[in-house]
Amino acid sequence: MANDTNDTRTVLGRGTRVRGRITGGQDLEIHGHVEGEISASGEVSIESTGTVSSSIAAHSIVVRGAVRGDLTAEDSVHLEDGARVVGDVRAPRIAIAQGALVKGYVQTGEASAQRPAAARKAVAAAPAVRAAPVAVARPVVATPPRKVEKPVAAPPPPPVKRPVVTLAGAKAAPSPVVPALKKGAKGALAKKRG
Amino acid sequence: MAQPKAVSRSTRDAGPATLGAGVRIRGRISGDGDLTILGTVEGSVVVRGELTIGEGATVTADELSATAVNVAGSVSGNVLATGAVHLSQSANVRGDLKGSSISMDEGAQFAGRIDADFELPPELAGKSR
Amino acid sequence: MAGTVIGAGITIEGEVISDEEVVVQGTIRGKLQAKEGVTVEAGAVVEADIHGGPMVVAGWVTGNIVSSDRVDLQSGARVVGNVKASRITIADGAQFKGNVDMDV
Repeated sequence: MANDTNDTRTVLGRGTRVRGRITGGQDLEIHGHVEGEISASGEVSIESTGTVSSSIAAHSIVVRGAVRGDLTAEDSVHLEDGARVVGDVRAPRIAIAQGALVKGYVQTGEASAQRPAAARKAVAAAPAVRAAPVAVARPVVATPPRKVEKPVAAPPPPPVKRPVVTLAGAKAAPSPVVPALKKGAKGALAKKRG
Repeated sequence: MAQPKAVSRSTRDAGPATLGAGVRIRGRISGDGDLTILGTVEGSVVVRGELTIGEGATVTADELSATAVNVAGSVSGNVLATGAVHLSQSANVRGDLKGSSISMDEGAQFAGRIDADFELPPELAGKSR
Repeated sequence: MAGTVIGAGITIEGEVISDEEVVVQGTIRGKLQAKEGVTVEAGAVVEADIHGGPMVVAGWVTGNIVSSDRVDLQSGARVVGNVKASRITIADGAQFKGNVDMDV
């Protein structure tokens, strides 16, 4: 008896409180209260009534509510108007809308992305700025994140390569070898064979 | 080069100032009024107006302080605004941000602390970070 | 707002307490409490005591079920634990091992 993973949307309603660890699944929509750890393979959204006291690791994260905990996403983190986040935010792409309030270390870029499973162990990623450095003479002034943990050996995702598709030896599909028949020729042939 | 969001209103007698793309400055910049930087600045920038760092501009500063700050270029250093700080998609900022409102468009590159002043709802109240 | 659905593929280890109805399609280990009732769908796994309103079980439950209302074990259900309810039905095809207390 295996859990069917086709319909894997999870909704925690406004009147629901979870204390513990939430893992797996695809999308997770939180309107209630969660205390613990969240690790999902899809999109985790903390809606406006949601309050989360937990680290969150997911493919993408959208916050419209309140979070105390670090946010780590493989793809993107969006903090919308009304979001209140106390914690570090790490994802290749981060958008912070006007009206979103953040208190913590924020880092964009490929190097900051982590797989949700790995992130469960140690949420604090390496603070080293791997992205192309600004042409500067002085050292970076950025404050390192609070948690000084060893960086998880999560390999950075491979660079996006456009696969080069080459058909064996041909630039375009070879035209058929069959010579074009005159109009009516086919019919004539059929008649002949008939 | 894309025109950054330059504000062309003047503040009292101080008109908007622009440091063009070919300008390199090493030192302290201060003043009243809006300032747009399109070139390279190393030092500190303290203006009582809106500060715009254009796409292509590079600023390395101990201190970048203004009423509002719009960044579309590269900044290394802490950014302090009494008002809003906004990073657009082409921004690349290494440093801490402080302001009444902090926002960044997806695509902006950023590494640093953001410290808005607010309280979490009571369910999440606890040790502050 | 629709109630709470613990989707398939999700595992919650800990306690889930709700004043809404909870539908479980995934896995819960720990404790489950839902005032408006619980539906444990086929494929769901609940390793926890379940407390609350009316319960419908079509999945697997290992734990005690305490309902303020009725408990229905549907075909395909597999329950190992005690059931306390005011009413109970056990469908043909449901598997059950435990005590039943109907407050008689």
